[in-house]
Amino acid sequence: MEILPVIAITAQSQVHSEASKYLTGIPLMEKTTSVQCHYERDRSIRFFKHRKGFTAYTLDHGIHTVFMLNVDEQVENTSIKLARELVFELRDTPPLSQSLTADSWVNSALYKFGGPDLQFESQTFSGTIEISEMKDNGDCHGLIHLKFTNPAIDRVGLNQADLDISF
Amino acid sequence: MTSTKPPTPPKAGNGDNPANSVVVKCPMIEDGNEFEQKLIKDAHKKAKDMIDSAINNCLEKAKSQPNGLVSNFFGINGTADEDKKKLDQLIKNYQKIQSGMDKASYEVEHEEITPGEPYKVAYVYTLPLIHGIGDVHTVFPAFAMGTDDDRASTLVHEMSHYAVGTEDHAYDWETTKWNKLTQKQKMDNADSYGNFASDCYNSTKSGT
Repeated sequence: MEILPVIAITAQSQVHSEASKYLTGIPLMEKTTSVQCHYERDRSIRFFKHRKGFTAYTLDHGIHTVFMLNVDEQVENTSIKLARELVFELRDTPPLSQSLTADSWVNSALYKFGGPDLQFESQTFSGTIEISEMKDNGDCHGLIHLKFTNPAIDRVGLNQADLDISF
Repeated sequence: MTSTKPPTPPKAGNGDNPANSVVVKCPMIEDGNEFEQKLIKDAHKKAKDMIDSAINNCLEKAKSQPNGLVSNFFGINGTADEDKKKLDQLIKNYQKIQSGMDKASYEVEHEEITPGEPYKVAYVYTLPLIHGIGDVHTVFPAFAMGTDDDRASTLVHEMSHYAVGTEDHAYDWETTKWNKLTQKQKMDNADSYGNFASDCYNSTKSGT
């Protein structure tokens, strides 16, 4: 019975501590990363300038395969979402589980990131791509090691950005 | 924790402020230097103007005449009863955002930008059911990097999370996700609220 007050005080201070975390804004929530890949065969990418200045795209009929990758980092119980979007067109239908050099295999690509506003955008790239699985429902898996340079949008002067991701 | 009293608004009719002048309440800002505080105050004021414009210049008018921006951002194309219900819901949401702005307090944070990585600009804490809690957090130097419009639109975006409980279904520059938004998702998407308010404000100003 005598330890009850101690428990009460501990519980109260825990509640207070949790509240303080919210109110003082110390970022301590868990970060989660989600990666989504989708592909479409017999397509080509057509880029165009959005009226707000960034590059957008549509998919036209074509003879290649277009991959669209979205990587989101979110922090639990906050509005923080940092997003990356990559779209690239691979020549024909790529062989699976082989490291493909961007020079030989990637016709065009667009990499962007930000949250909420766009912070970086580039279409100049080098590196490798390996597609390990292309499911019938459009899901895809693989590895990407690409360096994007010569950005068209670069809000803080990063000049280049690496994208190393397993998806 | 220290408590800070909000600044007392100037009294109307005291000689400095004519009785019919509009008194703009300054938001409470914790920390930050003079330059950072000024950017927040300016963005706060512009965000309020953008929200006013969204309600009065675009959404109210869309009840009698279809509006291109309302159609683009929220997928409401006509003036039928069903459309008017959705417009009323949007107006209510923007009113909540405006009321949230009136009570908003800001906290200035500093965080280094990692080369090649996306970085935080502003955020709020959100909890299920009660939505936002605490201050609106502005992260420098990132918050200072964009234009006045970007900063104001970001505050509308964040306040929509805070006051309405919107989600981040897609940012406007995420082509694939943005184009796949359903009408229901558009009504619940923070970036739709921020960008619509900014576009409505600017199109009204330019008379287009």
